[in-house]
Amino acid sequence: MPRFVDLVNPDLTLIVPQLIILGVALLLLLADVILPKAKHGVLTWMSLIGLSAALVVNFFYVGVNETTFNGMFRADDISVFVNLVVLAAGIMSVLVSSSYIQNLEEPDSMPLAEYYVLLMFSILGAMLVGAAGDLVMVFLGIEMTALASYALTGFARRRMTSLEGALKYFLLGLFASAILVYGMAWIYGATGTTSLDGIAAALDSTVGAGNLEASLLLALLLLVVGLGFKVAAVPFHMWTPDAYEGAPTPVSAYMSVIPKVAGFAAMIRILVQALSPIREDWVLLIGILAVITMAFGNIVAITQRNVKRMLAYSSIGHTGYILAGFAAFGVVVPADDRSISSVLYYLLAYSFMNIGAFAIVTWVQHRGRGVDLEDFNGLASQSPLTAVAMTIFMFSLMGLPPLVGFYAKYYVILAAVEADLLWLAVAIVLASAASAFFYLRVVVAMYFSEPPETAPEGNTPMLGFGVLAMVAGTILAGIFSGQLLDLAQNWVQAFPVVL
Amino acid sequence: MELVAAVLAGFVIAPFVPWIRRAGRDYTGWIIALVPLFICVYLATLIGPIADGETRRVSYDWIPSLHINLSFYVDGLSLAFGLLISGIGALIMVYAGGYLKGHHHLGRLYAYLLMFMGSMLGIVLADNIITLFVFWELTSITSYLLIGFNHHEAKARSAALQALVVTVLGGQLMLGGLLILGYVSGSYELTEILTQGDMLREHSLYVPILLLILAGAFTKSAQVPFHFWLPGAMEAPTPVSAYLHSATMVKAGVYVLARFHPALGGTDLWTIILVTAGGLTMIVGAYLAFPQSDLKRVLAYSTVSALGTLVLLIGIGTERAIEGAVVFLLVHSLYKGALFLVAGIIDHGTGTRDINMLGGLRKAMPITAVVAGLAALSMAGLPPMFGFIGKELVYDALVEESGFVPRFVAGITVAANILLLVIAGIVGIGPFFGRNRDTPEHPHEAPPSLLTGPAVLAGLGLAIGLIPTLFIGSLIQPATQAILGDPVAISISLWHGFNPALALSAITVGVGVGIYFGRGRLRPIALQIYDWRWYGPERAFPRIMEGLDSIALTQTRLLQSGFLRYYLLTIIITTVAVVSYPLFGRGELFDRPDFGDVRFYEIGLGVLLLMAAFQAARSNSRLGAIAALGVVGYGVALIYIFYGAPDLAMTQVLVETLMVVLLVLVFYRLPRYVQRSTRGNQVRDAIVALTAGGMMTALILASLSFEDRTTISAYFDENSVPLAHGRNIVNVILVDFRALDTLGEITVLAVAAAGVFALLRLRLAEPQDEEADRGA
Repeated sequence: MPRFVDLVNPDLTLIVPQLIILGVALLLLLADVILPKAKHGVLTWMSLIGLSAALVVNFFYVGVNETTFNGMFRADDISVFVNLVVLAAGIMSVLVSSSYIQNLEEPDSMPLAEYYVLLMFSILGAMLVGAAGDLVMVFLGIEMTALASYALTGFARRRMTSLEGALKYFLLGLFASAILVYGMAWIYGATGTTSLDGIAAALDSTVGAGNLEASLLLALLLLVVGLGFKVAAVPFHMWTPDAYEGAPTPVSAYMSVIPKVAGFAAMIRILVQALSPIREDWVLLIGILAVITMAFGNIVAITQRNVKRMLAYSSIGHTGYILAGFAAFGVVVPADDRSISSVLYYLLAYSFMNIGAFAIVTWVQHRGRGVDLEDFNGLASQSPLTAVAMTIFMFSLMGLPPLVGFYAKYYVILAAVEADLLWLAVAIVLASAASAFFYLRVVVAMYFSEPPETAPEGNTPMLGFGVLAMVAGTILAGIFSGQLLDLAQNWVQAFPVVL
Repeated sequence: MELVAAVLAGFVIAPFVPWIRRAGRDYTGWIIALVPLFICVYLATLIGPIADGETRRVSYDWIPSLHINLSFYVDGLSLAFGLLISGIGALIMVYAGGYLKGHHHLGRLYAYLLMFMGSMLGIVLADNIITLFVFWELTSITSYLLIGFNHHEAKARSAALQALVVTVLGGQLMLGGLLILGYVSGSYELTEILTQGDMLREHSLYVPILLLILAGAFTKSAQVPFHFWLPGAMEAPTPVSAYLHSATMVKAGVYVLARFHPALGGTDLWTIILVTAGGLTMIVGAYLAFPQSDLKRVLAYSTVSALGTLVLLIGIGTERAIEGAVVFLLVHSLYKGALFLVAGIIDHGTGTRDINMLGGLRKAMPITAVVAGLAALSMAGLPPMFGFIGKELVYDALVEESGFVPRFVAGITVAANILLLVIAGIVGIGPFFGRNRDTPEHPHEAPPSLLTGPAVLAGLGLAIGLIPTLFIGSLIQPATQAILGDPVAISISLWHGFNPALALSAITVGVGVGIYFGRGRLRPIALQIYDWRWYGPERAFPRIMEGLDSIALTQTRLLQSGFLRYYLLTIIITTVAVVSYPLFGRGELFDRPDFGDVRFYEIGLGVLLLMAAFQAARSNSRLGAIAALGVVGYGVALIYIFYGAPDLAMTQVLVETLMVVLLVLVFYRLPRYVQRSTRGNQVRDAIVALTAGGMMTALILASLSFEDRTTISAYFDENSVPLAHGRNIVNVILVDFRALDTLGEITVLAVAAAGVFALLRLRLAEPQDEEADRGA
């Protein structure tokens, strides 16, 4: 007999962070109508307070590991860490966005309230993926994040490139979603359930040694294609450079992190939680995908002269590193398995340094410069602190110690080495060596090139504060990473890993 | 505890430099020099215990889960390096104060220098290999800041980029090596790794570990073929060059080789690589130094040569060779530091560093001349200087082996030393003798702050040469022991009797002096050959960059065309390719072909759907295409009805209707449809579309192979009356069992309808008036 959702007693105390974000989104909508346009600065503070409150509340769920809504929703240590990344990234995105959206950096005005509302729903979507206990929830969250991202990409609605990027992102995204949901349908067909734990249990009892059933392999491949698109793995990455370049810069900052986090959270939920019994069939696949992705992203980034495009390819490269973490899954005894903790920690590190880099691009745009490499010429002599901040972000993205990017990359390599995947470790090392070329190019332009004659000043305190926070995060989250890593390592308690 | 303080002192004090500068004014250099001086004195107190065979180790947890500990360790090797780094550091601080007196950013330079010194100390004192790597990369960053200090020239830019790219590249590779090393040996502490040499050398991963670590060491220590970055880094202010090139930065690679010698050294592979690279670097560096005319570039290339010698000696790895390496390391740091500082004094006093414009300076700069002379004698390897002992030991280590290869290497070493002797003359003697030349500024003697450094370094070279016993037991013997991993007995003296080494020295001096006096004629010839370097790695670097660029460009044209249709094409083809394998390759999925009773109206509907889809694809008008798509949608709704899902069918019909309305409204505004694709494109698209469609069909057929699941109709049949009190099952499902679904569907439809309404209203309210639109 089919079981019906029991709507009587969902434990709402488990979904407080999500409820806060939902509440903030609704309040923002309301405030948009009530408040006069001149007072819309308040919206920024509302968003910041809401996100911070959710972030604080989130810490109460460390080690809780419970489910509600009939197992559809999970408040476990993975959702805690995903929430941490998403909310921190959300706060940073708001800090980066506020002046850009208000200061008319794009042709025609952009409504602040709508911007924040879309941002909030996108964040909520990513949080739902992190907390999903069911394929349907995963899909729901991913689409929630993605739909808002499509709209945000086209937010500069009088600029053709923005619309072009949004359209490409949207159409290709829909295509990928269709593939993803098709893969989910096949999993359902093969196991008779959409519950993640249920799938794992069903697979555990049916999957024997030897070749995987063709139907399961088919489902797996469809899922990998769909998820690969969401995280922009090569060869499903084509939308990334166009969308990042076209979108308003703060949106590029945001969508280089949050939808990606949602994609990776979905991978954790689907591949690790549900499909761990057939991991032998996907770890190698993901490993190969990782190598192709990191090699491609890092090599192609070298030729880019547009910094936003360069950062787009660089983010593809980082996707490769993160995927490498997945490939290390399931070899070591569960308690010591660093694979998923390395993924989670990398996402956190990545959000600091990548949003930071985009924040500096935004900062430069505020000062009447463009987004090409030449626009960074001589930045060090005109605004030394900004140049130092950008240098820190570039070095961190490159993986230089003692910045957070180093520890993150190191952790992934360590996971790969401990899983006996030396080829993967060497690939990461080579790829990140190649990445030095283009990250350093920005640094060198800032320090060794003549600055342009005129340098208009800008006043962007919120952005400045955001950059400062991200610099602090990039430095401190690395040097004092012990506790964060412990928090990430808790993932092994989030659900019983079926091996 | 003191060890940690010694390493971190530079980082802690660096932020306070601006205040120190404000308080110290012109004496800032002297004040800041106290930091390295204290460290140096502290390390000197360890000389006694270390010489007695003790070691010191402290360890604090940093990030235990990453195996990163803040652990430091002192033995003979790290002590020797630590003393050089802090000692020369103190002299450099004083010198920089005089050299850049009144410079606007002097404070910044001091901050960088302090951090750089701290990083170097971290490398040589670290026990944890990851901590070592952290400091290793910190030297890359801080040295970059130092090299880039005060520069806005295109030349400096490419030099700094090269230097950074090369060292960072090597660093990343080394990280890989260190991690694998830690994994294999089960510990990330040097003290434990170094005891496992036998196991490591036998291990199957020995080769990758060795190659990756060597890549890091060679790039840092500018070994051929990575030597080209080092002279480029000469753009730095002179005190920085002196510090980076004498005792620190470039020696870090040598340190790592020496450090890992007990764990990784001694194999054939180790010897072959190190001897080849070291020998080549030694001779190439010396040769390239000869025709240069910029004092600093001469010195830079001679540094390359000296680094080659050190690597060569560590590669040979005999007791004598390692002893020679340690001695030569000290010798080189002393004289190279002194000569760089002298070059700075000359530059400072005359306004030029071009050796063709310098001569007869001994009258104007007498003290400098004496200092330079002493340092040059040491570099030339002449008695009674420390340099003589160093060179003798090197020769000794080479001649004690017999066979063709050692003889050949010995020959190269003699040739390199002859050139170094000539270079010593060119930089240390040439500018001070001969006739006076016109220099941009009138030559004048340097102030004490500038003279202290070189004088101390050159004086030490003389003092050790005269009383070498002072250092043997206390420094050289413990360091040699640490590199070899075994106890050794060492005796060195200025005079060690007539032996083959002395004969080689005699040849060196004879030929060298001859070349020195014939240099006027020889240098132009050498200069011509020097131009061949463009065929070497210096050329390769931009070539590699260009190569990567063109790969990237090609892919951009192929994959990143910017056309959505190509993106879609790629994704569809990839998906089809990926999915085809399990679908067709396994052949398991079509085991139940059951096309039993297909009813005639189902066939009719199928044909209708196909025709409509075909029409949608080939229609020349948008409205036609939309209408055809609408037919497909309603057809699907019919299928739902045939198979007993009236609720789904109803939703489908409503959605389809809205979609058609929306599409018409939106597309109505677009310009007329134009046929853009060529015949060939159409054929290609058709093939791809058919393949994709074929795959989907196969997928659906394959899904028939799933086991029958319990159907839910029985449940509704039984429960609709008792639970929902209704006899019409469809109604019960819609408004009771799935009431929430229905509510959701209604909401979605309502929202979509509101969108349609908004669009309609826009169309009614003057579509041309953009301003009015915005308000809506």
